[in-house]
Amino acid sequence: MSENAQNYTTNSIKGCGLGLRLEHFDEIEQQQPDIPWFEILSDNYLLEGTSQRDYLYKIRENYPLTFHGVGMSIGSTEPLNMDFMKSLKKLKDEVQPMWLSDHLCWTSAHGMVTHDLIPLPYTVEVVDHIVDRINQVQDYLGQQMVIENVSSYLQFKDSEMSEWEFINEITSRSDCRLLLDVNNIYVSSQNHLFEAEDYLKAMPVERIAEIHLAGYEDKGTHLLDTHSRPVSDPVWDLFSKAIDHVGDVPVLIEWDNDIPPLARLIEESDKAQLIRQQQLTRNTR
Amino acid sequence: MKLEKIQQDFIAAIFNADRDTAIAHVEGDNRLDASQRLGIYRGSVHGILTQSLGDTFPVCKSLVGDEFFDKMCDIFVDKYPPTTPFFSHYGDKLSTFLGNFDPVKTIPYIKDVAELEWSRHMLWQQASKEPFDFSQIASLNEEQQANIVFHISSNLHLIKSDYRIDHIWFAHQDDNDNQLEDINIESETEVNLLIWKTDNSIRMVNFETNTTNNLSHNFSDNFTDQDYWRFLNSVSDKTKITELASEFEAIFPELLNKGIQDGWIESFTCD
Repeated sequence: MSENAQNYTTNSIKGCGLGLRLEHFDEIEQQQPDIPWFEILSDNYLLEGTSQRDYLYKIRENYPLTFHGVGMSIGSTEPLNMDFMKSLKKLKDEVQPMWLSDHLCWTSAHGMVTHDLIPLPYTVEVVDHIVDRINQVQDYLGQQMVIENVSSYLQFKDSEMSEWEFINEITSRSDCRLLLDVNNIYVSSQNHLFEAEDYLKAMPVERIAEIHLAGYEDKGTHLLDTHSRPVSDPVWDLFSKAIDHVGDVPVLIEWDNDIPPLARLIEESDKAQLIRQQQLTRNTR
Repeated sequence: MKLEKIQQDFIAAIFNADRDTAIAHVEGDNRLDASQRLGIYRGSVHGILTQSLGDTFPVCKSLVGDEFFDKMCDIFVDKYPPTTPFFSHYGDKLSTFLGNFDPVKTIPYIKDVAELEWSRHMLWQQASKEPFDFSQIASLNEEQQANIVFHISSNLHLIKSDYRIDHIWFAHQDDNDNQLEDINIESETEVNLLIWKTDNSIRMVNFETNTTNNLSHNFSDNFTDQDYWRFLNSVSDKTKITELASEFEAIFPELLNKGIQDGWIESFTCD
């Protein structure tokens, strides 16, 4: 990363935030609920002059924001889409999020875009490629990037290392930060039959900017990361262990499909906050 | 690079249902074989895009029914996969696709309804622009003035149809009492639909009938709605000022003033 790049700290955000969704705009604007921060799906706000963008400016007046994206396609072998990157940089400069994250995966290749998170083979060659890409992004945006581990439903024959080794190599060599999605660890652990705690304990604690929690669907043969359900009990258990391992890190509830009323989301956030505080208190005794 | 080959094969598996080459890269086990694991991604991508298309084209979805729409989108997604990371830009080809999709031939107006829904979708995303300084025309020399091309506002769309697509659209809105079966769908004359974005709404007017469910527009007494419609279409076709003047003769200055006042002509260039 260039010398001018800005290193963001998590000091100014505490507690459990929520993903900002269109369905809740009016309620949030009118009632201003006690939520420490909101995370926006930045891809949805890239077009200037839209009503979504106007809403965002209003929310920004009362809440800190973080950006979370899907479209960067950090793992793609085709060049970064600079139209997308320019729009993202402009939005970032206007809204000044606390940090900006995308996923450790690819979403586009050969001129086509999946709009879904496709995993990568865990090889030395891919590590080199991703480190180069993250450096490009960090230099262009002028700030440290945060990358998130994804859920996966397949593994590559070519993989030469575990996912946690892959993540450690990339975050260390690119000096980026990590958005630790605890639900994604659990989903992948069930789909690929590894111990979720092994993954968790291998995570680079000093690089973790944020924790994500969400709900999955059990499809019988596999777990699917749908963000359409409450956080499951095994994920709450793993979250408790994550707090034990990681310490006081901001936590966020994601719910993107079959979106419930805001009050239900706040309940979920309150539960995360309770578990977080209990675990932090236990650790200080 | 091996990753490039993997991504190429995966794209084929996701958008062409051709999993044969991609399977070679994937581990399978006794719960799910490699093809099934790839299938999860194909299903997920198609599901995301189908949901997005349903959100963008709710009237089309209602016209064919949910199950048919989802199956149709499966075919559409393979034929026209997204090519941009801007998610809301996906669906621009649906109208063209529907025009050539035999199973909807019994709903001949659905192609135009899709065009109307896409126009409304795109207009919602249009940014308001700063007013253009048309007084610059006075500072141009004669040759430059003769080469002026006016530009239609990006906040305005013009749609022609043989069907009452505006009525069909209104019939599918929650606050409308008219049912689809009460509408005379085929129009005796061409429907000339003008759709534009105001500060916080999308408005529509049919220039032929000027019936817009209380969304009427004030037109001039000195030229007909059809004159104005033809003029806006000529401007949209990037017709030069000299040709516009020749085509519309005496009413040209007033049409031009009206277009600028309405904000539907947003700028000019001297090509």
